[in-house]
Amino acid sequence: MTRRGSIRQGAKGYLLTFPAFAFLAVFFVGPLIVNLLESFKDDEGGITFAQYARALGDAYYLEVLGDTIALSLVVTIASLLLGYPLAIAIARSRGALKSFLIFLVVTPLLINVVVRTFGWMVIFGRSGFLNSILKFLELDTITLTGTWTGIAIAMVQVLLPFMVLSIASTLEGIDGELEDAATTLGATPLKTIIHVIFPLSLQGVITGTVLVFALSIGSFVTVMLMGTNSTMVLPLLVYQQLNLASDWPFAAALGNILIFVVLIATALQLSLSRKGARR
Amino acid sequence: MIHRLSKVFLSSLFASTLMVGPSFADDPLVVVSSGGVWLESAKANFVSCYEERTGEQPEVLTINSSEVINRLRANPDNPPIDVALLSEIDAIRAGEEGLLEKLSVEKVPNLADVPEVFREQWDNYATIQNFGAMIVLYNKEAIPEPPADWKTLIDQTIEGKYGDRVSFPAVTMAWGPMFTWFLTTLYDGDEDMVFEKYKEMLPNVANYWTSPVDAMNMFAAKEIDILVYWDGRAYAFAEENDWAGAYIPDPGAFQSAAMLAKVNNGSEKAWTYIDCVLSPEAQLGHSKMIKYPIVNSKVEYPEELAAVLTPLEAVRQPEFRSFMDKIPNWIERWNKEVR
Repeated sequence: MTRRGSIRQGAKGYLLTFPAFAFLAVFFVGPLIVNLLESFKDDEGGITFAQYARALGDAYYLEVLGDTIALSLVVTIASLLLGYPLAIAIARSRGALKSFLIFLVVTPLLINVVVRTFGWMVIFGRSGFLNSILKFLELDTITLTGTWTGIAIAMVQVLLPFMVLSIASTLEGIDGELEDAATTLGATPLKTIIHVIFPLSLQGVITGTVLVFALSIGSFVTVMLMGTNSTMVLPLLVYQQLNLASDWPFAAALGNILIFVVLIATALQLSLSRKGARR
Repeated sequence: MIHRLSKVFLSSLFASTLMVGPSFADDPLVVVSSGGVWLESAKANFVSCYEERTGEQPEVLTINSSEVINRLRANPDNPPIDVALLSEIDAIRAGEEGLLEKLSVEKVPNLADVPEVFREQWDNYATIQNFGAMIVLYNKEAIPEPPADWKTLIDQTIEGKYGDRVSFPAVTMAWGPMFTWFLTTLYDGDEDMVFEKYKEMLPNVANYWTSPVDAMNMFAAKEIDILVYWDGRAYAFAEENDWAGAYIPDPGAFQSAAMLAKVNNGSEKAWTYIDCVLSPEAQLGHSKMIKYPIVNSKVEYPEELAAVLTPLEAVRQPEFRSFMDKIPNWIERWNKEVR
């Protein structure tokens, strides 16, 4: 192919991506711009930084931001620890067993978040399933509703599939002979996972981590239904400002702060990906 | 080739623009209803009346008040809804923002039978469709003699008389600000006192509920003994369960309502639907199904229905304009102080 032909071919390729870009520009970037403008609007229609000063200059909102990030980190780490072995099992299984495992992992996504959260409330309730078992075993009952622990458990359940599927797809691409070679050279199964499999699956781990973190930091339904005032997260504050206080500028500012945090996390992922690729 | 692809893309874009273009006169009327039994009642009583009068079937959306007002704000010239169902405060805001059209007896003849009290705070931009009150649902076995008045209930909760088996609505629940306003009326308008009481009760409440479903589930599972809840559902629960009772503590309760309104720039057919909703037949049918009082003064409740409805004399209508601007501050105080 001539150089001119190659350029034309490339241009056609870019043109085909235009609908997707146009869609994102209208339905994603557009609302973000509107949101950004709203956050700087004052009562007289002028420009103000007051909403950001209010959010970032108040110890309460900073505490909520910190709690939101901490919850997302805990959910992400827990999903990674629980999801990695599951991803290995899926990557190594074949046929019906593999389909069954994938089905098990994906099932939580098929259930509406409100219904699923009510399910957890039934399990964690004072006279719920969990405490009934503890009572039956003559053990002390525990309180999980209204606690960070209960919320984190419920969130891990729904976000686990994103971690597992991201890692499993990377693990499937790893040459099985590398594992055999490590074993032949005397590595134990644990050492093989730590020194061979894990570094090679890092791309999947990073993708899963960013996905789970981003989804977790933006979710509020579980926190709203299972939490109390002492388990407040930023997205729930946004919801309150929009639906109860009708304070759109402040809601927009809180939403933009949340987006900024996710952008930092994504930038971190890109940086880690580049480092991983260089190795 | 690129030129041809561009043409295809622009044609598709043009076609899709037409598809999402403005609504036309023969579009079905779009009305709003709450879900569950409210939706069933809307279909059985209001939609059927509208179909009988016009031969057309309206589209019924089940969305909440904040979603309704946000959709109207987004498209004031070409609203996607013709008849709105709003919370009291959203109805005031929507009326002030020019999103609603004033109701009149000329356009809605049945409005003549709706007392002024159900629409004057809204300057006739909306009318109450049905109303209720927040009362006390309690476990008769655990608490044979529940407190007679609200202040005693609050003080005894603070003292720990009921353990932590009490649940009040949170300020961040949709009608929480109205309940807070009601409590301020009990404490001589002292907001600080009300928030202090909220704080003092915190160790001795199971939770401040935001989800009505969860609150009722907790009571039904006997995880709590006292629940401050909506009258219709509370009376219905007490009727079905011998161990439960429901009553209005002194000095009464605050009125909460569903507001019906004609959307500005919406279809003119909306007047017919609103007239149907306010007709005596549809109002009585609605009340029978949802177990809440309605507003048409011509309606006479059957005895057994009247027994489970909160009478108008027992409820106090909040003075919305006196506190609606305070709500953002109340929410902030609630979040920061009561935890």
